[in-house]
Amino acid sequence: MAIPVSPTPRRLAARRVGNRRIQSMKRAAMAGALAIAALPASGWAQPSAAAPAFPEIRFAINTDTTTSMPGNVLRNTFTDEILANVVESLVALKSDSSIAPMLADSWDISPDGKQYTFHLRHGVVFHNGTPFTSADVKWSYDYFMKPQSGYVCRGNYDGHRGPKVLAVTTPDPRTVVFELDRPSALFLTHMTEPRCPLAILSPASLDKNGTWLKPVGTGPFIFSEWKQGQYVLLTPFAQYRSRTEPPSGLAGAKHPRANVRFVAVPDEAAQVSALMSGQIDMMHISENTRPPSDPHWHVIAGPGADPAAFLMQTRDPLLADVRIRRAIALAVDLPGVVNAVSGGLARYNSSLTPDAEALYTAGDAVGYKQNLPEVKRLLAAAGYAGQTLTLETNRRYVHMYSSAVYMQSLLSQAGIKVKLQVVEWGTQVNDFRSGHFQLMSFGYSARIEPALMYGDVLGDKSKNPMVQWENPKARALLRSIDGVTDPAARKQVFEQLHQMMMDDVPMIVLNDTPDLTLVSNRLQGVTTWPLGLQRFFNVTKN
Amino acid sequence: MLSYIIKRLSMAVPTVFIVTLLVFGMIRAIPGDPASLMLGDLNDPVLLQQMRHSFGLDQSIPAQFVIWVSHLLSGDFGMSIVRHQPVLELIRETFPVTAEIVLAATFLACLIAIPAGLFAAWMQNRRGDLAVVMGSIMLVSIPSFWAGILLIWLFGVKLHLLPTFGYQPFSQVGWASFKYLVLPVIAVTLGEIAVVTRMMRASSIEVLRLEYIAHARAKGLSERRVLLRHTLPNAFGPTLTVIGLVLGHLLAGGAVIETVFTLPGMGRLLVESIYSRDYPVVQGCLLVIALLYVLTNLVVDLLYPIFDPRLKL
Repeated sequence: MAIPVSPTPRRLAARRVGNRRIQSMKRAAMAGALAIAALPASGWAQPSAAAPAFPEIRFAINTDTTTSMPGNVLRNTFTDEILANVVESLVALKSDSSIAPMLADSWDISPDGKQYTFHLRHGVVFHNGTPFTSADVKWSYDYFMKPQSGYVCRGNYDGHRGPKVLAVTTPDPRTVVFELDRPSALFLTHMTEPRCPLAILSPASLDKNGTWLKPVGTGPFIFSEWKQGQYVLLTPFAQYRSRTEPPSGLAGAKHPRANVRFVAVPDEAAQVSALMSGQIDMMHISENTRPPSDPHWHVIAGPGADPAAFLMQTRDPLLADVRIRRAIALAVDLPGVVNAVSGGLARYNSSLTPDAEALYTAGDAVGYKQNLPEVKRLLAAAGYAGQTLTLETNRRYVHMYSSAVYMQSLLSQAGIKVKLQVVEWGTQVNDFRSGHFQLMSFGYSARIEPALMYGDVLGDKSKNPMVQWENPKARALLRSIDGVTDPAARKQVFEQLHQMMMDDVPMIVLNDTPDLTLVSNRLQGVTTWPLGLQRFFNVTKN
Repeated sequence: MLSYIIKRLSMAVPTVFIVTLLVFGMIRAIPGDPASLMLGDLNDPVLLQQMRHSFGLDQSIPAQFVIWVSHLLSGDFGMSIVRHQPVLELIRETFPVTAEIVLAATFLACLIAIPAGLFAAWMQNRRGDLAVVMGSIMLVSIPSFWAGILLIWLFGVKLHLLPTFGYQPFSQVGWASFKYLVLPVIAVTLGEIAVVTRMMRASSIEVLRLEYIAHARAKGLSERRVLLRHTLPNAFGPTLTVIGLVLGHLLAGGAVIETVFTLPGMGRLLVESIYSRDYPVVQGCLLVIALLYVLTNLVVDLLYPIFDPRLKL
């Protein structure tokens, strides 16, 4: 038992001195910390002269945009996200990927499908105050078609990835006519592609020498400030003239109600701590990186359109046999894998048509069902002798990695030997594009129409090794709807394509990656949509 | 002195050339190129060819090397493929951020570590020494990114005293800039303190065993004078070498802490450029890092005779 030692007067004095020292040190430390804390929160917090009355929403993005030009070759996902709030096209995408009016109130398509006449809105002005006319449409189109613009989707208009635009004419300031060399069901869709919208810009977007300055568009937000590597600031456009239809996707009514700062925070843990400390209000998250629940924020979840897929190299000596591929597809409880990987937030969808699409049908919902006796039969028929397959994945996208781990384990249980090969994302993209893999856990980015997705997947591997599915009949079927605009007819073809792909098994589509956003409770009006781009119009902050 | 500097700098030329060769070869040995990474899953072979051509990637690797070196000789580090900015401009923008943190951390670390090392040596094998040794072992065992995360959690998330990310230059916001540097500087300083303390302690112990220290004590000099006048200057030489190495290492490898605190420094620029295969930026950054190492070591060598008069340049 320890006997307490009674303090001597000297010890007591020393302790008092010590206590005083500790207290004074504590006071000094606290004063220091408070003095630092009392410094202005940041240069960012200084209210901007352009929009002093609005609150500021801070949205964390993984990496800064690398360009401010819509559809430029340097663009990344966040470029698209930022500019979706700044620029507009003649038409816009709705939540279900259908087309709605935007800068054009209406349009007529000639009976032969080769001429589109757009009737433009009255009273629209650009961010610099100049009125919007048909001349601006022609100017924007001409600018994007110049090679020096670096527009990534020129192919959609010059004939090599779609119809060729023969001429753009402006009979009057409110009318613009596009003449095509052949009918195209996707002409309007191409105009709305988030990665390369045919944005209508003011010539003031360039300097006197024709060099790109910044986007001067007609959208609800002005591209106000860009500190490269750090943030982009958008401010509400006071003269914005909203449409009156209900908001949907990038279409309908848009009301800017806050300044929006896109802050580049590359590390996800840093994003979460910034949210917890109140320095950001919103961030994208993935199924696997949800922070613990908290009364200060909530998750907004919605269906996505980015297909997660398990690719199989059909030119590999072993996987060239469709029976082996089919055995792989039937060996695994795919809905279970999707459920486990997504934490219940995604549904199994074996079709390249996202289930949130207006063109999705009951036929698309037919997927593979686990059937182990059939797997045994197929493997035996194919003469599978236990060869090990290599499954490539990466750790950058956690859902791809998790899917790969589950698939490897479940395939091994079914008697198919698989080893994992984890590579860096850049290496995986290279292998995907060159076809150097056996199995790959991959994720496609969303296409706004199933024809675009099937178009990128179908082809001839000897000419283009990044295509996954070699089936001339399927290609011919896809080409047959190039000029077909009737949604019912298109649905039917997509359903057939899905069935053909299920038979050929060049890949196993698992699910559409859900769109998840972590949002501070101070924000109202945040919604998701399958294409995943965050829209800040109609969003308010308390 | 001048001839020594010229000799050292001329010795650096082959080093830097070998570095350029290695850097150029190694970054191209990694699979993937910036054009295909930018396009990702977009199936447009025509565009891919156009991009490769515009980035100069359709030329042979030796031809690309010759072009790069010839531009370097005229002071042109090239243009970033991904950011479309001159590489030198990117380095000029990001290096001051890294330097600010590293220099502040090194200064702070020296301020704490040198007295601590000296004290530990003086108290060798006693409680004070044990405390310093244990403390430095603990600090050297904490990775700076982990220290950074803990600091963020405590001062940013729990106490809401300091920002958890971001940076504002002093030139723009004045003293408010200080607020963004506190946590990263502390995170970097902790590891540095440990390294410098251990070196300072070791060299001080050696000096304290020498005869002239015994002589100084025998003369009746106070312990304070023995330590500050006779031990510190003689023990500081080897420590200076370590400080130089640490400084070079930090200037080159600040990527982790810059990522944790979202600082727009050169380390983060380098890492992001490696991921996006932005060859000119990677090459430029690594070249600057090699030069920094050479210069830091040169400065240390030039300072050495000040602390050890036995050495002559």
